[in-house]
Amino acid sequence: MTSAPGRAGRQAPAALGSGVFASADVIAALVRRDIQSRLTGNFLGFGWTYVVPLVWIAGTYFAFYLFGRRVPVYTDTITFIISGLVPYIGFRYAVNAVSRTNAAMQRLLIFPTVKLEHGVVSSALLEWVNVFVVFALVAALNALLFGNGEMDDPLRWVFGTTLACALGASYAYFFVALTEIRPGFRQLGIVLLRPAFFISGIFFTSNELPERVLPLFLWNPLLHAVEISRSGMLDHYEARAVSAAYPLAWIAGMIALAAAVRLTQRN
Amino acid sequence: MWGFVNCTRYYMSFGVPKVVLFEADLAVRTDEKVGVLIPPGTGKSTIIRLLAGADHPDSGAVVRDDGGWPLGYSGAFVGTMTGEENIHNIARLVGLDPLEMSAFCLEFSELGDDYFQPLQLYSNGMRGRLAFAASFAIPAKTYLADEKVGIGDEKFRDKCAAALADRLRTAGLILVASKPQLTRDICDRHGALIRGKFVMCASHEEASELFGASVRESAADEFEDELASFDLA
Repeated sequence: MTSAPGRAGRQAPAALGSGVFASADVIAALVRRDIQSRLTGNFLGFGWTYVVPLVWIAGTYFAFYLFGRRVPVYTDTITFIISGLVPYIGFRYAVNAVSRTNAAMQRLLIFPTVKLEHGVVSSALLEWVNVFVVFALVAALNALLFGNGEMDDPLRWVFGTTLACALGASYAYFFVALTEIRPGFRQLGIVLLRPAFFISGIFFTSNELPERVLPLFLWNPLLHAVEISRSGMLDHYEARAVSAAYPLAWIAGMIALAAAVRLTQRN
Repeated sequence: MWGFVNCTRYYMSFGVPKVVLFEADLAVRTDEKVGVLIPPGTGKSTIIRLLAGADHPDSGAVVRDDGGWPLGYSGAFVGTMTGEENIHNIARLVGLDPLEMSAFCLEFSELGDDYFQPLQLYSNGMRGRLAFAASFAIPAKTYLADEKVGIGDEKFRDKCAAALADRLRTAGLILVASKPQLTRDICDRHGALIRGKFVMCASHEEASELFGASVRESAADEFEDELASFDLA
């Protein structure tokens, strides 16, 4: 009779550190699983992830041309669109990926070591990396085809883009938690996002908004993240009136609310 | 400890609620071997999914111990990944050494070179072999089985039976089945699911009789419903 394999060595100590390591192992395994299934599965679907941003950029460029919209910053149109679209894509991809967690994790929650939160973190991490791949692709094409490209403060740009991804992930996590109670909440979460594309600074900057409407737009945390990312990318742009603390508070609030919903349901 | 406390679970089928559990209670010790007879199509898989944590009750609570493992579970496999990649991935998810688990599964499943092929090229039987190999590779405290305690040809079934008998020296088993002979030899305690409630019996014979009566009764009910539907028409 063949004997069953034993537990890996790192599982044994019951200290907090081992719990963190075990969670990191599970998250790494979920990320690897997702990448492997995407790469070896529907390659067309995987490639579509990188084609969609190009279509969005082309569509936005066409809209600028159609409405005679002039770029409000000293840069070319494509670079301006990239500066707003890339963080938005990070947000949107994180929302889409994390929203699918309930369905994607259902078959894996049978493993006592796997929790829904592992799926949320692994999806968010993968999309966070993905957005930088998307940026590398569109920035390379912009440089090759039009000879344009800017990166004023890379750290600030990474921070802003990361904020956008984290906002998307925390927003979707909240709705994932609500979906556990009633499946209809998933659709509500998607419907509520519809205006986000138009009010989050993809087509405009916060600096050009009239004083009357600026406070209204600043309620949107995604506008802050997009503007921080844009300020990091563009050489001649510095967003006024935006703050990193505001989206960070939203992220913390969403995670806390989601955790509270999950805890209430568990009890 | 495993079981249900005042648990209700139903699902809608063509607009009609189909009750699997109705305010049901069950208590099973982690190392007990319990067989529950359930008529086909009345919720065996739902009960295993509830115990495994992949489904939630509409009301009441499911008591779950850690270290439970559904026997022959293939739901975690990804079709586009090879058998080896799937096992490595599962090993990482459950905290086992991937190489050690993979070596065990390659040998136990007897898949040979097919082990290194994508699962979408596997037949149902090959997939089942890998699933059973994975089940026996994971040191479970309680196995959860939905009708199947083995798969494939007689030789492989015997291998599964021997592996299960070996594991059950220290582990428990909750086996839901629609064939009474399946639970007879393998379980110590027997019961049946009658109208959404667990009824535990003193012996396998008693459970079988109760189960048989319940199946006959529900067949008669269905016949009457069918007649009533003709009247309405």
